Amino acid sequence: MRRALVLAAVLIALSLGACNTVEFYEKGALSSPVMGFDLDPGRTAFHQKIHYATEGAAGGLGTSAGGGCGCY
Amino acid sequence: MLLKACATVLLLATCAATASAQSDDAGSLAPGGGELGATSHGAAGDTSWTVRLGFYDRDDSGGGEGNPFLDESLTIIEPVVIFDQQVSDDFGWTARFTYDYVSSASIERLSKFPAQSGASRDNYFDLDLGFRHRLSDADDVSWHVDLATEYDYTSLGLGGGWTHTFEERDASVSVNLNLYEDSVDVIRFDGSEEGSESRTSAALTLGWYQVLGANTHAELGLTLSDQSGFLETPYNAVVQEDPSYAANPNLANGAQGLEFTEELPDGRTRTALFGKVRHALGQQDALELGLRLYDDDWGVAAWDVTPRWIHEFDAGLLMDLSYRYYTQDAADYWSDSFTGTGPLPEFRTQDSDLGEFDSNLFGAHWRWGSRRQWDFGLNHLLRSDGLDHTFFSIGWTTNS
Repeated sequence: MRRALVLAAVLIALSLGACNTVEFYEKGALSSPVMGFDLDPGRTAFHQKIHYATEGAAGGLGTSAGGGCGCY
Repeated sequence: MLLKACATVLLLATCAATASAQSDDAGSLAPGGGELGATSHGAAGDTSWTVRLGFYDRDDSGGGEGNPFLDESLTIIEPVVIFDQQVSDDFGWTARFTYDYVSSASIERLSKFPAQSGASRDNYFDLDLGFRHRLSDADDVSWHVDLATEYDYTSLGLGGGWTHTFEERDASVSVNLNLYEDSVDVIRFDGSEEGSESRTSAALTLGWYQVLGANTHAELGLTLSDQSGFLETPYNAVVQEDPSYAANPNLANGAQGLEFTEELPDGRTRTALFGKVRHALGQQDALELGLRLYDDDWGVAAWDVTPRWIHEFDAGLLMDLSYRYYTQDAADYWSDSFTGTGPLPEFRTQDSDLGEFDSNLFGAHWRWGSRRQWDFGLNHLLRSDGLDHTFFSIGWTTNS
């Protein structure tokens, strides 16, 4: 499992590192409302609490991974 | 093997999205505005209020699903109020107050014991204060303080993060550290009390935001966390079944068994690798693929994949449709059955959330308005062990 994680991290890092710079005048589509990753932090926190409390895997939604609530 | 396949899928999706990147309209971009990095919240003087109501419901009346010995019904009503102010160009802060009204069969069971007569409901209060500082055009730091309390639980949290945005604003990296020091009043399934225990949780998250092309960007993160102290759920029990035992009226299925305390190690180390790639299909549509891989030293390995479609209608209505497939292996200490009359394993649990299962989550979310904004999200989850649940939230934000 650990090997799979490391392998995935290396492969993804290599793919990201190979990306070319995009000029500022080409980035219009990225500023569209449909491209915002963090559409709603409150909603993200709500989903985080539900998933962490009802699944065995905590981490990867936001930046905490347990603690702060008796629910997980 | 399956995890490698998933990693390959994400890699291929990344490459495919990069390959399809095209030039488009000119515009500005605020990079790194995702879940991982410190973010600016507008111009100096901007303030916003958000009121949100969340609702969660899991019906297990009779205990027929998940753990067969327990009724795992749970209902949570969660109002949240958030205030945010960008005080100056370089400093802003946020206050978030959360209240949870929790009604569950497990709390109801405890209420029959005199010592826990007030525990028929749980009230959770949480106040989180967050602060963000812009150090330069390239560097932001943020930190927060969090205080939460329930009738049997208190928590103090501290966290901080640093985000560096690279030249050309095509990429940013971030580091976040979150610490929680929690205190648990140990109230067992039979109402007995064993004093207070502590729980310490630390999580380090490394994040990377990257523009992959004119229409594509991505986030990648790695969270390493360590927990120590009392990690059991105090009122959880395991049931040892044997024909020589009488039928137990405390068990939902009336099985012939005796209840014993759940026992789990006092340390847990978790690793989560996660990422998502979003690709714009014009100005009004985008597709996203998210993937998470998870592993811990209790033997739980999990992964999930989340495709998402985001569409903006002409009227300014934003719609987000998503699907999430999640699967996990059981923890080493989990068993659905302990039989016989001999000694139980040192570590043991029948908590259905630590068992093997997979789930399918279907979600839809709508957001509309600009200065005054509404949003509504509805989700339904189907779990292979039968513990299906539904949750929704409605939010209102006003900006000034």
